Amino acid sequence: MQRQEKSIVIRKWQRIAASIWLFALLIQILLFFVGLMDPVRRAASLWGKSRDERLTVVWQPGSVFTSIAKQFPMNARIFLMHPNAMLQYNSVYYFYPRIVTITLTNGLYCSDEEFKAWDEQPTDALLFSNHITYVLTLEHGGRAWQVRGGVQQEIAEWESAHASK
Amino acid sequence: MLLSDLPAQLFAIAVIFAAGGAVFYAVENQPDRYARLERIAYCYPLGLSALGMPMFILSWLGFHLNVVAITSLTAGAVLAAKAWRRRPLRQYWVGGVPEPWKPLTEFEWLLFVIIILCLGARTVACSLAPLNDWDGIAIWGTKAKVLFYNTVGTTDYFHKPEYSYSHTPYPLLWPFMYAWVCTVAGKWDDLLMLILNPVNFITFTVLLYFAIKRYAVRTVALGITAIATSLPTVMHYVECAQADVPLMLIWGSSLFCLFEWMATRRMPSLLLAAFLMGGAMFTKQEGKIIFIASVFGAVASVIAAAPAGRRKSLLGHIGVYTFLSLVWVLPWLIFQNGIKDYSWDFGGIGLSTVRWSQILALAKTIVANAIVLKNQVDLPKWHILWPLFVLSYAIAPALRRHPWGCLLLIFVLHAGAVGTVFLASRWTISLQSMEIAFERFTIVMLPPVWLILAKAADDSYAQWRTSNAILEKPAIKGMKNPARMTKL
Repeated sequence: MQRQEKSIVIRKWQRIAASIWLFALLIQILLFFVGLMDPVRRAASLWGKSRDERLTVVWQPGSVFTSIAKQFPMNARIFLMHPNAMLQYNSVYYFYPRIVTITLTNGLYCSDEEFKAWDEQPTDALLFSNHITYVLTLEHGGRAWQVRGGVQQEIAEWESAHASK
Repeated sequence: MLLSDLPAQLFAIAVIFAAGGAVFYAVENQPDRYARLERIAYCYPLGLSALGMPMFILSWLGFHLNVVAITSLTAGAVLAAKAWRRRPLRQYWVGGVPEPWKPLTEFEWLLFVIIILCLGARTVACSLAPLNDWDGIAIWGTKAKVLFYNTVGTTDYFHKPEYSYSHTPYPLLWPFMYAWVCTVAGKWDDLLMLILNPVNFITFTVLLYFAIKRYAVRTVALGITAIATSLPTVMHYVECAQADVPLMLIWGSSLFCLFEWMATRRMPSLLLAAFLMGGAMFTKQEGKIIFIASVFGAVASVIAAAPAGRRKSLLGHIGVYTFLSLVWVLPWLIFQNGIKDYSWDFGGIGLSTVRWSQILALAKTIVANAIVLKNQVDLPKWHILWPLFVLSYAIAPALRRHPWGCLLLIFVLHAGAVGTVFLASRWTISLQSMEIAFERFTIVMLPPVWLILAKAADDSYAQWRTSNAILEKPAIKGMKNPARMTKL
C-alpha cells in the first residue's frame, strides 16, 4: 500500500514536471518570430533593388572588388601588393578566373603576424618567370601596372577610373 | 535573380532529385513505409551524395563539369535502377495507402503556418541576397569558382600554400553543387547558385517532420518541426553559402535512416544511411567524426537491444554500413591525403597538440554558447533549446532506453570529438574567438537533438492529455498508417 502511494506521488510530480516542460517548449515555439525576423528584415532591405545595389547592401567589399576585377582581362595574372588577409581572400574570389597572387616566392601568409611581416617586392625577373601580367596595389586609392616583357607600365586610365570609388 | 535563369536552376535541382531517386528506387523495396512527400524529399540528399563523387572523379580526371555528361550519367542510373527494381515508377512513387486524414486542430494550424512562414521568408530572402558570408566567400565560394572554371586535375589551387586560408583540404561536395547549378546556367553567378540553400532547408524540414511522425503524434511532429525551422541560428546560416546546413541535411537524413534501422533492423534503411553518410564525409571534415560516432551508436544499439543470437548478423550489417560509406568517399580520401594543410588554425594538429589543460575553458565556452541568448554580432541564438534538451532527460525516462540512448551517445561522441579538435587547434579557447564557429558546429549536431526532444514532447504530451482528461479517443496512434509506424 505504501509503495502504491509513493508511486502515485511520483507520477504526480512527473505530471507537473512534464506540464512545466511542455510549457517551456511552447515558449520556444512561440518565439518563432525572432527567427522569422532574420529573413524578413533581409528581404525588406533588398526588395526592389538592383543586383549591384543588393550586393552593396549585404557585402560592400564584394561590390567594390567586382568592379575592380572587371577592369582586368579574364586571363590576367595579377600580383597584389600590400596585402592583408581580407584583401587577399576577397580578391582571390572576386577576381577568379583572373589569378591573384601575393607571393612570387611561394611564401606562406596565413596568420596576422605573417601578413604583417610580408615584404615581397616584385622584381622584373620574378614577374617574368611567374607570367605575371599586372601588378596591383589598393593602397592610397589604388594603382595598377601592366607588365610587358617583365617591364611594368602604369595604367593611368585604371587609376583615374578607380580613384572615384 | 532573373526569371530567365529559373528553368536552368530548376533543371539543375531536378537532376539532383533524379540521381537521388535512382538510389532510393534501387535500394528501398518498401516505399509504402514512407509518405509520398517523404520519398521525394529523400531523393534530394541522396542526389547530392550520388552526384558529388562522380563529379569529383570526372574533375580529378581533368574533365570540366558538363551538363550533358552529368545528365546522361543520371539518366543511366535511373534506367539501371528501373531494370533492377522492375516496379512501375508511378506505382512506386505515388502508390501506397495514404494515411487517414484527420483535420488539423487550431493549434496545429498555427504550427503549420509558422513552418510555412519561416520557409517562405527564408526562400524569398535567399533569392535576393548575393553571396555575402565571409566563410562562404573565402572557402566554399572560392572552391566552387575554381571547380566551375577549372578542374581538380588541372588547377594548382589545392597545392599552393597561399590558398591555405581557404582550407584547401576541405571536402568538395557542396562547391561542386554550386558549380553544377552555374554550369547548367552557363555562367558563374553567385546569386543564382544559392537557389540550393532554401532547397536544403525545405527538404530537411520535410524529412524531419516525417521522421518524428513515425513515433510521435502529429501535433508534436509539427511543434518540433516549427522550432527547427524558426531557430534563429539555423535560419541565419541557411542563407550563408557554407557547408554546415547541407551537412545537417545529409547527415540528418542518414541519421533518420540509421535510427529506423535501430528500431526495425531493416537493411534498406541502413543502406540508405550508409550512402548518405558517404556523402556527409564528402561535405565537411566533420563528416568523418559523425561517421565514427554513428558507427559507435549502431554498435551500441546492437549490444543494448539485439538478442544474443542476432548480434553477429547485425554487426555484419554495421560492417556493410561502414564499408559502403567508406567506399563511396574513398576517391576523395585518397586525393585529400595528398593535400598539405598549411592553415594557421587546424594545420598540423594531432593528438600531441591537444591542450588538455584547457578542458575547463572549453566546457565553459560550450555552456556559454548554449545559454547566451544573443551572439557577439547581436543575432539571437537558441532561445531556451539547450536547457529544454537537458531537462527532457528528467521528464522522459524512455530517453535512457534503446534506441534513444544511442542517439544521445552519437550526439555526445560528435560534440566531444569536435571539442577535442578545438583543443588540438590553435584557436584561443574562449567564446569571444570561437562563438561563430561553435554556432555552425552546433547546427550540425541538431538532428539527434530534434528526435530526442520529440520523444520527450510526445511522452509529456500524452501524459498531459491523460491527466487533463481531454483525450478524445483512446488510441491517438491508431490514426497512423501502421506500415509507417515504427514501434519504439
